[in-house]
This record gives sequence, C-alpha cells and structure tokens, in this order.
Amino acid sequence: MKRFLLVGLVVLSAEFSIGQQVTVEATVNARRIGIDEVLVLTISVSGGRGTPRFRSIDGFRVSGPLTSSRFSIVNGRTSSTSSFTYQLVPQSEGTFTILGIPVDVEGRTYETAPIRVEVVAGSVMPRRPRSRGFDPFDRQRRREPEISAEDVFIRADVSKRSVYQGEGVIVTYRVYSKYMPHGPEVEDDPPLTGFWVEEVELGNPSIERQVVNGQEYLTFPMRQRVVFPARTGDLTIPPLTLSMAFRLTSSDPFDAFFARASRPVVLRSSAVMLGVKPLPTEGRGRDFTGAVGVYELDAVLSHEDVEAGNPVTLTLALRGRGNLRSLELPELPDTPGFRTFDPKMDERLRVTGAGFGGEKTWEYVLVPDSAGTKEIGPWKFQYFDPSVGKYVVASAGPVLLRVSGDALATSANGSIPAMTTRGEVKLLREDIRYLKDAPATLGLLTTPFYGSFLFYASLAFPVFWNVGFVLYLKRKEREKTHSTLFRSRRAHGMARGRLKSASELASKGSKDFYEEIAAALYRYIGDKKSVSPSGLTTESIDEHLEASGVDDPLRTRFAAVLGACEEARFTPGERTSEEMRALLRRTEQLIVSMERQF
Amino acid sequence: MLLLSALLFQVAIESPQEAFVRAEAHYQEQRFEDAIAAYEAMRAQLLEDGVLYYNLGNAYFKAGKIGLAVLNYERALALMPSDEETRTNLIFANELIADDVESAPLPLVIRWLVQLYQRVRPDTLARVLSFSFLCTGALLTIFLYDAWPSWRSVTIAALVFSGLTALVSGVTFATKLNQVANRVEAIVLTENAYVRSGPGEGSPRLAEVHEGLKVCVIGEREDWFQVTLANGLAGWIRRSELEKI
Repeated sequence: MKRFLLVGLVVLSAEFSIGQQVTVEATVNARRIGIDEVLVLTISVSGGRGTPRFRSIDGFRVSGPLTSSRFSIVNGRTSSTSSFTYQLVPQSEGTFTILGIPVDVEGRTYETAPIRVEVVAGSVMPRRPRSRGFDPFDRQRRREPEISAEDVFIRADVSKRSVYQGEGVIVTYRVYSKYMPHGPEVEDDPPLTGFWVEEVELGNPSIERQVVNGQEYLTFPMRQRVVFPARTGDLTIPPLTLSMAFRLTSSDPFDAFFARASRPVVLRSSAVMLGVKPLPTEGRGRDFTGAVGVYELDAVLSHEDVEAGNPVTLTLALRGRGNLRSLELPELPDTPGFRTFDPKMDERLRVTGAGFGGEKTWEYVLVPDSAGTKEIGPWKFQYFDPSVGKYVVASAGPVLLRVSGDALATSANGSIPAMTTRGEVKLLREDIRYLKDAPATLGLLTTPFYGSFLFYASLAFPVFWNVGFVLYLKRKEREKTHSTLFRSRRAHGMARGRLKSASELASKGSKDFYEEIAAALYRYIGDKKSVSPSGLTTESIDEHLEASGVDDPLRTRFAAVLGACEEARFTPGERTSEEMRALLRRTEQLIVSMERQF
Repeated sequence: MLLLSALLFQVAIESPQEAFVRAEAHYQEQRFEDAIAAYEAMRAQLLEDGVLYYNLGNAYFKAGKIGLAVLNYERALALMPSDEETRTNLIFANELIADDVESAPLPLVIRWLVQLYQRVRPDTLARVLSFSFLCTGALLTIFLYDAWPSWRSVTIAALVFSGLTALVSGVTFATKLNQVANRVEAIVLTENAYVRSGPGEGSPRLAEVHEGLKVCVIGEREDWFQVTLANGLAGWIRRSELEKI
C-alpha cells in the first residue's frame, strides 16, 4: 500500500488552474509499460467537485484511488483541482484500451478520453533520476517559489475503510509541505453525520521530515479524530479545508530578494468513504449492549473482611479500547444479604492516535446484613471484537467477602446471647433450659422395643394363631359333615337291626317291644338329622321331618306309629304278638317310605 | 510415665455418669469448649443418647455455634421426640438463626397431627402397633368362632377399631423408622451457604441461607446435596456446608 502511495504521488502534477472552467482529464504515467510494472492512472477534475464513476478496466487489476484536492485562492480567484490516482497492475501482455471514464461534476457528466496502453514483457520504464546536487543554474530550482500541488498537499488518512458499526476509525488529516507553512488554520470542517466523534487533542504536533516519492516533505498532523459509525452502509467523511501561508525564499540569490512574499494557500482534503458493516447476529448474547472494541472487566472490593452492618465498596472497572463513552454496565447481579445503593460512575477516557479508550468505573456501596463468607458476582460483559469479527465475553469475579461480627456472638459472661438480626433487631432476654442429668441407662446397650423378640412375636403370633384357627375350624366342619353323612347312611341299617331285636321281643309278647320300636324310630331320626336321640320329642321330630321335606301323609303315619308305641307303653293291659307283628310291619313299611323321601 | 498411666487409668475408669458431671462442671464454669470436648468424647464412645445430644447442643449454643446447637437438638429430638426441654431450646435456637423461611401455613387439625407425629417416639408406636395387633388377632378369633352370637356387632366394632389402630400405628411407625434410617434432614453449619440451581460453583445462586437452617435432603451428587427449603425452594448446597441430622 505504501508503495502505491509513493508511486501515486508522483503524478499529482496538476497545476493550480485558474477560473471555473470544468476540465476532466485522464493521464497515465506511461503508454508502454512492462508487465512487472504498475501503470498509474490519474483522473484530474478541475473547476468543480466531482467523483469518477470507476468500474473495472480490462487487462488490469485496479486499486485505489488515492485522492487529493487543492482549493486555492490566488489574487482573489479560487481554483480547485481534485486528483484521483489509481494503480493499474497489468494481468497479461498485449494492447489495452482504457475507455472513457465518466465523471459527475456538479450535475453534469464529463468523460475522459480513451487511452491505449501497451503491456510488454519485462520492465521498460526508466529509473527515476536521483535528486541532483546543488546547481545554481538549474531551472527547476529557480521555479521553486511557485507553489505547486506537489509542494504542499493535505491527506486524509483513515485507519480502516471497511468497518463494523460502532468500530472506531482514526481519521488523520496530515499536511505535507516542502516549505514551512505559517499559521495553518481550519477554514471549513463540516459536521459528520452518522458518526459518534471523539476529537484527539494534538497539542503542539511535532513536525517531522518524511520522504515521499524521493522528495522531502515537512509533515505534521493538522487534525485527528476517532469516529464511530452509528449507521450501516456507505458513510462519507466530508473534506477538511485548511488555509496557510508560505514565506518563500528562492534559493536563487538573485530572485531571493524579490520573491520574498507571503503566499496564502488553501488546501482541501478529499472526502473519504467508509463501508460500514452491520454487526453479525450470530453469537450475539441477550445482554449485548453494543460494545465494539477490546475490553476487560475487573471487580475489586475495598476490603476483604468487614463487620456485618458496615459498608464495603465494590468497584467494577471496564477497561479497553472502543466506544466506551456510550457503554453501560449490565445490572449488578442479585446480592442477597446485602443492602445496595446506586452506583457512582466515573470515566477516564483518552483519545490518542492509537484509538479511543480508557477506563469506566462503577462504585457500589454494599452493606452486608449478616455474617459469613459472601460471594458477589460473577459479572459478564459481552463485546464485539472487530479484529477477529466475533463476540467475546469479558468476565470478572466472583469476589469473596468475609463478613464477621456475628450477630450470635455471646456476651462476655456467655449466658445471654446478644441481639440478633432476623429481619429486624430483636432483643432476647430469655435463656435456654439447663443441662439434663445423665440418664441411668446411659452407656448401656438398650434395645428399642421394636428391635425386641416380643415385638416381632406380637406381630407374628396373631397371624399364625388365626391362620391355625381358621384351618382348625375348616377341618372340624369337614369332620362334622363327614359324620352326619355316615350316620344318615347307617340310619336304615341301624333301624333294621333294632326292628330285628323288636321282632324277637314280639314273639315273646314282651311289652319292651314297643320301647324298642320307639327307640328305633327316635334313633333313626337322630341319625338322619345328626342330633342326639335323647333330645327329641314328638313335636321336635315332626319339625325335623317337615324341615327335611317329608310330606304330610308320611308324617301322619310316623306320628301314628309313635303314638301307638306310646299308648301301648303307658297304658296297662297286655298286647298280643299279632298286634306287635302288625305294628312291626307298619314300622318297616314306614321306614322304607321314609328312606325314599329323606 | 507413672503419671501418664495414672491419667489413662483415671480416664478409663470414669463412668459415663462421672463424665457427665465433669462436663457439667466445665459448662458451669463457662468453659464451653471444654464441655463440648467432654460431651463429644462421650458421644464417640457411647451409643446414641438423646440426653447427651441435648447437653451437647446446649454447650454448642453457649459457645455461639448455633448451627451445631440446632443439629444436636434435632438429633436429641429424633431420639426423644416428646422431650419438651429439647423442643424449647430448639425453638429458642431457631429464633436466633438469620433465616426465617416461612413454611406454608397448615390447617389446625393437620398441625396437631404433625405435632403429634413429631412428638411420638418410634418405640411408642411399636408398642401401640404390637398391642393393637394382638387385640385384632384375638378379636378376629372371637369373630371367626362366633362364640357369642348376640355380641357379634360389638365384636365387629372392636375388631375394626383395633385393626385401624394397628394400621395407622404401623404406617406411622414405618415412616418414622424410614426417616430415622435415611436421615433426610440436614442443618447448615457454615455461617452462610448459597442455594444454587445446580450442583456446581458455576450455577446461579438462588438464595443465601445461614447457619442453623434446617433443610430437607432429597438427593445428592458428588460434593453436593439437593435440598428443599421449608418454603418450597429447591436447589443444591455444597455437601461440606451441611450435616445430616
């Protein structure tokens, strides 16, 4: 870049033109160049402000432009010349035509003449002649009193042309002059729109010597500022207009006396275009506050130990380069257990040639309510670092604070705890209950009841007992059913046996026959119903029979037989064997009938 | 050497009752650190004893260590839940802690039940369970045998009553025993501790709690306990800042 600058300055050869005639001219430093060389194209616009609408040129890679303008008032007449210098790097050998380049000057469009350029192999341009030694007869030196654009110019340099929104750009207006200028003053400094501007205090800038294009210049910065684009898109930094005077002494001793005069000169820088890119959305945090640059965050406590109720100062410092002035720190994180006060903000900002930066601090006063090791923070601060094109997080803390002066500290005699804070201060005049005596069982192995055998036994016993009991009842029930069936089945046989013995009694004509018959019947019913025969009466027998579904005629027959037995037993008088045999037969028939119905 | 062995001998023959008297003497002389040391030594030797925890809690309280005092009162209460002195001192100590975490208010009846639950010892519950279970068993037998048919309704009522008693006491007993076995509650022992939203220093702090606060431990991971506060807030506290009851 620097090389191009030097090359470009060679061709700033436009003379101060006089009058307002608009001329647009394109010149090249050579019509025939080697492929290793660079063609310098200069478009000069005089008589008005204009900007070439430059696109691309076949066969060349274009860089630039370097711009320079002069605006001078000579003898009351103003003239202005702007030069746009492009470096054209040939891409291949051959003959190329640089077509006419349109230039818009105050509403009208002018066009430069086409230029044919031949590109050949190697290098063809002559070496620039070295500066010669002193030669009093050299015409070049004699012309020195005339101030040309080569003798003095102003350059507007920007540190960067393509920037992010909010990124600081250093704009330096630097005067280059072969002679010592007097009283340089800013004539016109239009306000910058779309920028946040921080002026650099230059003080008394030192004047340096600098060789440009083999010519020695005195150079000094006239004005320097850091601009932060607030909008995106193409933003223009307007030109700065300076005036200064030269008192020239010709090196020609014959001319020196006459030429000693003050020459006022007005210089104007070119406008600078900045391409402002929007900040990327990717990686942007929710708490991003628009900080662009490079920052670091720091948190410091005034004390590390403090008593509860006493204030401590927390200082948060944001240091770095960037648009610090417009930055606000995110909220202080929640500090439970502290009373907080509004922070005191302080900024120490410096604007230097290196950029805009400094330190911004926030002082918080915190009063801890209770004792303990408190942790405050951490803090995070997100900013966009344009040098890497990414969002970066600066963090600080957490800081630790040991709070002593415990509210629970016992008083001197140790008997009454001191006041404590529990929301509000509370006085406690009571004391805890006194110690207990050692229990008798102290140190003895005492098994709790629920670990004892008795406990488990009490849980197990009712279960086993009841399960066993239920099983027992079931079995008994089964046995009972069993015996009932058995007796019922046996009843007929038993009755027949008894009737057989009754038959023997009948042949003897004994009255015991009736007893035997009655016993047989009672026994039969008892067996059938599984009840004790001794508990039966005639009535209960009838009930049993009815309950068992024996029909009325049979029941009547049964009652009749029983009745006959009773009658015979309890009434005096003999009975014949015949009668007995008849009753026996009735009884046998009765039992057979009963067997069918039971 | 002789002196040393004599000292050892003296220590060795000191009965727990004598050690208690010695610790009490320290306490009365306001040498609470010595009293604490004496009680802690006993605790290391003896089995868990409610009275010992109670006295130790008192000594810690007087020494200004409120967190350890609360912890020992809670341990004493776990062993003798019906002891009113321990409860009084615990309430007193809780008055002094910095945190006043409001628990959700409960209806009166529930509060009574909770108080009853807190005050009853597992051993008592075991006895009630044992007795009511035996009664239930006996009544069931009577019911099954149907010994007195005319008293059947009375038998059924008594059976239901004793059965419910056994059920309630059994469930309560199991819960209580489970609580003791799992030791689900813990006390904050450091002056302050942060409840964080996750188990790690990087997690945001939800609340600051102070020494003596009782929290419920519902989980753990490495160096962290997951806890809930009485007001329902849940979070993580560093393990070293807590001790389980």
